[in-house]
Amino acid sequence: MACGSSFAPMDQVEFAALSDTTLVTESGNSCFHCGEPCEHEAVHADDHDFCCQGCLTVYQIITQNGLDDFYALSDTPGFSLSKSEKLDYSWLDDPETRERLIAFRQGNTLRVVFELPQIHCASCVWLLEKLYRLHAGITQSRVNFNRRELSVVFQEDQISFRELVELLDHIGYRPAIRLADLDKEHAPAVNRRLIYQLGVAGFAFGNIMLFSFPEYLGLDSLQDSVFSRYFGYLNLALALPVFLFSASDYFRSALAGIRVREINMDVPISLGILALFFRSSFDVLTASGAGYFDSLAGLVFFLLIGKWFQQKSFDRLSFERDYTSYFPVSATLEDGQTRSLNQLVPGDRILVRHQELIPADGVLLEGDARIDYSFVSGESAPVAVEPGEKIYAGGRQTGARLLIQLSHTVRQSYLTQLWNEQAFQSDEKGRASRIARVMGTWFTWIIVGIALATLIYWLSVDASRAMHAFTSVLIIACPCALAMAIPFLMGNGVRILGNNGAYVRGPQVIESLAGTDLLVLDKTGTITYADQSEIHWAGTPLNQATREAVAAICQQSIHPLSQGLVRHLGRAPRAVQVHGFEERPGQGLWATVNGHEYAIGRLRPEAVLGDDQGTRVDIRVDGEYLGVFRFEPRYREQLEDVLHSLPQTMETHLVSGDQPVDQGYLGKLFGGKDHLHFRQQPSDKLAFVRDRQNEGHSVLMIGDGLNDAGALRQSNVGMVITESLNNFTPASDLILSSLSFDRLPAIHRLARSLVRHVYIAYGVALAYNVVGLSIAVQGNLSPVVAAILMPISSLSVIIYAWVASHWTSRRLGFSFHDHDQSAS
Amino acid sequence: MEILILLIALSLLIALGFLAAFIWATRDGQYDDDQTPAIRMLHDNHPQNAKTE
Repeated sequence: MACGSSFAPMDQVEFAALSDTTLVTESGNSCFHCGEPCEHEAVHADDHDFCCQGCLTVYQIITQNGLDDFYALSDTPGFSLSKSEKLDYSWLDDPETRERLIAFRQGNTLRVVFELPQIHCASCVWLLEKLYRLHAGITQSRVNFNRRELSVVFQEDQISFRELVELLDHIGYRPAIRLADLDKEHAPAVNRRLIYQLGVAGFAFGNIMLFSFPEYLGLDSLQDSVFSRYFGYLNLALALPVFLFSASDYFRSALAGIRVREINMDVPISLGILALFFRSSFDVLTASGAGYFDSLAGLVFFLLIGKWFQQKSFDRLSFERDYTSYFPVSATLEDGQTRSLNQLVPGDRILVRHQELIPADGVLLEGDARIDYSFVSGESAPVAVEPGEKIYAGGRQTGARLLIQLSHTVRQSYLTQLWNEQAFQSDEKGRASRIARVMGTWFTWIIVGIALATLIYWLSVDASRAMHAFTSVLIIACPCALAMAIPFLMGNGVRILGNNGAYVRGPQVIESLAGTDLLVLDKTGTITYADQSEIHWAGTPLNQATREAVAAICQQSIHPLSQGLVRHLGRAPRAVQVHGFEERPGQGLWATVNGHEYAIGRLRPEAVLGDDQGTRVDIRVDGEYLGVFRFEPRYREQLEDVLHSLPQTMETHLVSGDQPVDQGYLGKLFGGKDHLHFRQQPSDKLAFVRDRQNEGHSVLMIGDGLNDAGALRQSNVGMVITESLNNFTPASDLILSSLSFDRLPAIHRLARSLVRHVYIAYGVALAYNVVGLSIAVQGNLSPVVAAILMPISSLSVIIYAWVASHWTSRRLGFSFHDHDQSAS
Repeated sequence: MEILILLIALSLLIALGFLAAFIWATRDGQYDDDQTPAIRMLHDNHPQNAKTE
């Protein structure tokens, strides 16, 4: 419903459709442009049906510019434009705001990157890359499908930034410009360093192996030492960039670890690489041996592959969002001008229309305010605010236009204070694997111990072999295979989960997830459907004629509640005629059907049944109050199954900003009423999670809105449920498509068995190490043995990881193939 | 057998050529986006007209 149109408001569109000599079509057809069913405002042109005038206009723009292929590439590729309001982009004329959004400028040539969540098919790519045919000022446009981004190069003297945005909006791709875009640095998003490192290591690995062939085949006895020396120097030259460039990140990470008195897995790896390089250089330069350069290059190459493999990321999802990504960029001032949010100051008077967001705290001056705070406070019922009362940022107005005088800037508002909490200050959470850190520490001490013992032993027995044996131990013990276990198992885990609608921020999240033993759930939007509600009628039973009349009247309105009622009652027969239809924003619908006067909406008669809580629609016919439709949140169908199939040891808690409801039902599900916590402010939720952690629990928090942001951040794993991946989600570790909610227990089980497999893979790697070490301590490790043992152990671990993760995912019913598209 | 020295030097040169090509391709951004090109290559100049059959 929030998608875009820059066309006339609804009533005018309807007028245009009727006066435009085009035919109103039979219902049942779908729109040629967007695929939505053609309903009361459908138009017919060029032998195609369109659901609204907006879609027809876009169709005309596209075909008049010879871009008909847009419709040939996929079925109904467009976007419905009928259900949204016109946006005013005049704030883009402000030079300071504009410059912040521009990625690159050279004279009049500008490059801008837009986020277009609507990109979804081949036609989108095709059309957006043909923008130059829609306007001569656009030089080039490139789509990045993964990131849902469009990069446009244009000439400012021919098309202004604002005109460009309006053009995109006009053809159905409304750029998502958020407050966060004004703050961010325009850094290149892609890190190519790893790819270079991998390329160099692979290149060196292949060639060094080639030059080591004489050594492998024992040919050096045939030739004099000329060749072996020549090859040795070549190998040294090839290994140098691997040592200095490809492996450099391991040294850096090891040093960083030691500096904070922590021995991570990169320490033994760095030790191994150093030993390999200096021992080999010594051997080659003194002509005392062939060196282990092949092992060195192979080791680094394998390690980098592991790193690259676990780097699979979901570019189009953001795990770092705060409130600035939720807020729009501009607000409308009292005089109709728009201004960027950063420039709002206390005292400004702003207008807030239906479905718009309150950008900063203020005082309501005029208007019937019904603010939906569900996203910030978790409360599902809209809150009524009287003029003169305070109004808080983050709420969404439903109904009439409001005039608000701001009392705070955007950054100092009540909601944004949450981000000053300590949980948001530290950035350490889940960055490194705990298993690898613990393992690295133990491993390093053991290896250093063995190496020193070997050194001391040989010094007393045969000093000439002492250094040889010492370096051999460090070389063969280098935990390459050990370091492969986590990247490959967890990297596979990330892919499997991604293919099944659960997108994790990084591989280490899976490890944290496996350790969680306490589940905290938010209510609204998390265990209930965000976009569906159950509708109950309370009052005099309605007869068929009344139901049809109400449905027919509601069909005339695009208000979400009207649409919900139409879905509930079913569409009215075409014979039902609606006369004198009037929609009063914030109040309801008035119309006459069959001579009866209907009033539908928030009528507030004295006779209301008790409370005024919740979303409701009253019905009055001919002045007589009939009753009320109550909209109640619907629990997710799989909720009971999910809670029952979690491990017995897992405690579950419900933490909601709402009033207490359904305590009996929920209490049974959550294991007692004391596990239900209502009326929790965002900071209470955070404190709840912290208290449980202080009790020794590892907390998995599942939420969906800004009100959960603090708790999500504080918890060991913060998971967000979203109906659509294009929606805003607060910062989190894992984004779960609501379609995959039923997989929650399986996701938890997968994480646990992946961690178990990491330990088994460690066992495999250590077994190889024991074999290698038993040779190395004797001081007669030959380069060939090292060159065979190290890749074999790594390969064993990789193969084990592949088999184990496939087998586990199949056992738990996960698909290993990409079903990503269905979720988006 | 000394000819081997020359041959090996040449083979190394060729390999370096490939490494240079790889680095050029990376710098050119060919590894930045691995999905859109797969879609883009499906666009003929005139895919007329799958819909009219």
